[in-house]
Amino acid sequence: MRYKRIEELVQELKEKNDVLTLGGGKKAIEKQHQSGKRTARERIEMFLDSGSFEEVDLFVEHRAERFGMKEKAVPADGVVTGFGTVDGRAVFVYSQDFTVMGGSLGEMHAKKICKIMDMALKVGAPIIGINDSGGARIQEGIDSLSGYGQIFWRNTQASGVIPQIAVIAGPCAGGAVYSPALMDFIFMVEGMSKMFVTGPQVVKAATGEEVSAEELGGAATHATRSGVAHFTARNEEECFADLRRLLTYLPSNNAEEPPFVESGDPMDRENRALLEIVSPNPNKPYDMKKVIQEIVDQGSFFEVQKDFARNIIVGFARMGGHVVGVVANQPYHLAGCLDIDSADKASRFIRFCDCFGIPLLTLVDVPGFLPGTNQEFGGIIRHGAKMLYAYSEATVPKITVIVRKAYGGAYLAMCSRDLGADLVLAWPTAEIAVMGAEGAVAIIFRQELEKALDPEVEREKLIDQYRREFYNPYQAAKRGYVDQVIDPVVTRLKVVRALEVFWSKREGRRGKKHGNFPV
Amino acid sequence: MRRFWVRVNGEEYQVEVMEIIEEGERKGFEIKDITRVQEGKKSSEALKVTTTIRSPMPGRILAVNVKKGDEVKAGQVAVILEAMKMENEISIEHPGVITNVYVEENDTVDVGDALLEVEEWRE
Repeated sequence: MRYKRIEELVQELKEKNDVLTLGGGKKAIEKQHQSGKRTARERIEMFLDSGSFEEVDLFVEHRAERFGMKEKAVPADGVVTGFGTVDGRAVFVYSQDFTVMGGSLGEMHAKKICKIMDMALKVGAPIIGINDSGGARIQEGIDSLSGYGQIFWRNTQASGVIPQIAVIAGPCAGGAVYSPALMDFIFMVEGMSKMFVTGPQVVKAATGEEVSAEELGGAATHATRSGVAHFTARNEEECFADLRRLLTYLPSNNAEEPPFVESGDPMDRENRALLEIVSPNPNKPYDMKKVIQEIVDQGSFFEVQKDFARNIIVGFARMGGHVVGVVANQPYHLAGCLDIDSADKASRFIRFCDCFGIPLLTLVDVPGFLPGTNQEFGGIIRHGAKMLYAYSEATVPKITVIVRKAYGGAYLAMCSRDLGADLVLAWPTAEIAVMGAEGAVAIIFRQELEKALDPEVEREKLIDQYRREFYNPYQAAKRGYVDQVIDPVVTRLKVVRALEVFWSKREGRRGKKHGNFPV
Repeated sequence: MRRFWVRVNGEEYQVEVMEIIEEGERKGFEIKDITRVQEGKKSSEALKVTTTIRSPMPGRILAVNVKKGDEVKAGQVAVILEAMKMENEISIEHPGVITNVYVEENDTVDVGDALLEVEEWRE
């Protein structure tokens, strides 16, 4: 027998590679482009550092036999998997190939995803999943279903160990939605991404409601109403640029420190602008985002879920180069009240930061929990409990700045001293109190008011007196609930110093399997 | 629902089209609405959407800064709602014309109550 020359073998390899990397073929690629989408491989190229991608499992084939599958070639089984770098740091990635059987997930497709997830977990590097799939490959029956289950199981094992990020760059429906949901962040592209458990046809058949796919599960819906999406972009370029930016704030795994980047913004830069932004009249709203932007390293604030539950702001920033997770009430929306959605949004963010060693900076201006039957019936008790749990559980450095109102249970929920804040700073405008003055007076002075000659005049007088006495930071400072009352102008300096000191904080927790987080 | 601008014999029309999707595949389109784009207005300004601005929380109306027929700009504060010890500013999201005002000073409103109706000009 004649052995082929090695050059011939290499040539054969090249030919095989060329066929397989074409995915569903030229026509299907053209169709993908016509629908405004890039292919699985083009997306990886766009996302990773140029030329850094190493593909694995290109030759994997399905082993389904029924429904005409035996003779059917499914290049790379419809998903491109591998690793590469982003700004020189290792990441693992899988990208579903819609040109190959609609990116449908079969047994081997799922095995490829599981393998790359296992690698990411072993290495301790983020996993990025780019979703563009029609769903389960029906021809493969329960093997396909099992594949989803295996991915979910791995998502859960990897949770809190490596950052897991999903990009929805096409349809993602049915069971497929739950892998992104188990991950840390979801990116969606306007007009391109669709996520729903049951699509418009099923909704119509079951309930008679007519709803378009875009309205049911488009980027805008998940960014504003459901809170499923964390980031939305106008197109794929913007989406992957945002994703790369997000990674600059994240450590590669839970044992690594978040990346320090010298910002060049002096730590003692005075915050004079704050005096203009925040009105000392507690009834006047202002934009808390401006406060954040003024305090943190210039241009470093990167907001998460900006269009969902806008009464609370969460996002990453740098202070003196250190990454921080910012949680802040937004008086511009719903008076900055805590409610079901804002509690969910903040809790999940706090837990992410705690998983990955990112210190928390909490800015407080909260009048309370939002009253109303829809809140109570919706379970604000169990949702609000998440914030208490998440903050109490977190062992990362926790710095709290009380800007203005901090009333009642909502004060506690915003990382008060009692939930384990390491340092509590308050502006002189701070009002730390059990409830609003009107309500407090009505309860405390009920008898005096009943006896008064002119109850209205007496009431006004008592409210005024109560305000002066209790609506300030000094009562709380007397008890040590507030560590320092500070001039707003030096907020940045004080926070950076606190971060640098509490950086080395170590706090033990009782060993247990895991707590019973309220959901 | 998708919107297209088409030009027929020099006249511009806005066409609203609903995709007909069966089993995940686009089977065709159904035309829902055709409106002629007014002269002198760029097509980008012609898309009109009537929106009701609702109260985000229970409270009392402190001030209504607009009246029926007013042209309003995005970001303009239309109503001030006192709720949770805050003078909450309810502002206009898209430029347009106020077509209805449902509340006046001192009214008590619940969450979801209609405050204003705006005919918005969307881009």
